[in-house]
Amino acid sequence: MSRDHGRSALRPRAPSDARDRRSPPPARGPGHSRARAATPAVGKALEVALLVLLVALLTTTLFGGVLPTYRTAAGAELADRTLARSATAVERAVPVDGDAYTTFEHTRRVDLPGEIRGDRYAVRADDTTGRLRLVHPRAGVGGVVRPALPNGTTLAGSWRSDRATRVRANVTDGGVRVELLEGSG
Amino acid sequence: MTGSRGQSNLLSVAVAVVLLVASTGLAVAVADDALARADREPLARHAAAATADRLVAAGSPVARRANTLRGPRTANLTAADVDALAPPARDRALVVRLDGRTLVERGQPTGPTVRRSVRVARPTRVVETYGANATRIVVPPGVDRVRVRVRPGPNATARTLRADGRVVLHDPGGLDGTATVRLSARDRTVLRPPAANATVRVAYDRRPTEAATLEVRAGAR
Repeated sequence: MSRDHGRSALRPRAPSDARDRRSPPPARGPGHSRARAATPAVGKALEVALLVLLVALLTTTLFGGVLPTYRTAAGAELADRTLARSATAVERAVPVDGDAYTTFEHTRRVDLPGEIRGDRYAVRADDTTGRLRLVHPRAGVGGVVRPALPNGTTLAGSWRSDRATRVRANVTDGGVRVELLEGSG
Repeated sequence: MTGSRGQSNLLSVAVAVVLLVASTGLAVAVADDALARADREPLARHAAAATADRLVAAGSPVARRANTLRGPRTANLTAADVDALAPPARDRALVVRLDGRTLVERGQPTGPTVRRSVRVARPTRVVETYGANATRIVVPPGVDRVRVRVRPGPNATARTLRADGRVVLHDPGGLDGTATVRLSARDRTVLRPPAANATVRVAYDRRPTEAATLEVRAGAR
């Protein structure tokens, strides 16, 4: 209105302009205009319902199923890597040629992730089977690994993930003893 | 057209919802794929690496020294040997190859392949006979023992055999027969025959080594 400086007001309206776009269309039958009055409210309600439904559905699907599954899968993978790293650390601590030493003692630090899938865990040595076992509160995360150690090696101790972890190898006449130790020593 | 105008918003919302759901589904599928590809089978890799390291270590039944394998013995390597040597390989599919030649095959492993550069020693027997006019016998470096057979010539007594000036065989009554002489493997050795007209035969193993690649592949348990 400000740009035509009121000139349009002087122009006579063409007959076709009389039916503005915003003006209601001519009624086609009885009750038609009354039924239309409810449409915007119903339409808005349907839109809101649809979007609420969508958000609810997406939230349920993602947080209820997809996300925990993925977190557990990633946690299981990380647990496997942690076990492989623990086994490598244990193997490296032990001299390959144990017979070459009369006594040998060696302690080295081991870096492990502090948490897997948001929970602390433990790595325990199982001497009867000669394996390392990762113990985690969640069922899908964890596993066992058998480090390559010389025959007659004793495996003992455990690591908790929130502590500093070390491994000590001790070669004596009786054989090789490997201990998983906690604390920075 | 004018009758459906009231629900035109609803239509676009429905289209947007379909697009959102589709893109979410696509994102989940992509994440799924990424997660599946991120599995590097660390335990199988650890088993393969431990097996390879044990095979090339000095105490291994197929290694002559660290990183040098005994060529003939690699042919006799069995899966049971590998299991005893490297416990992580137990209960796993396993393939051990030396320069493409399969030494051990158990199942069809799908895990990662671990490679180690090694040298393979293949001993060859060298037998040389030196006649009456020989004055010096040169044994190449890398030989730590020599089997020597001395036959004295007519009307002569061969009493002493020297290696690099050091007396290694001596018999005042005369050398006649075979003996094993230990030498330094660091350098070449010059043997001096006991008498000018004696016949000396030396036999020794040379162990030329050649570079090879040891490949170990382990599968899931």
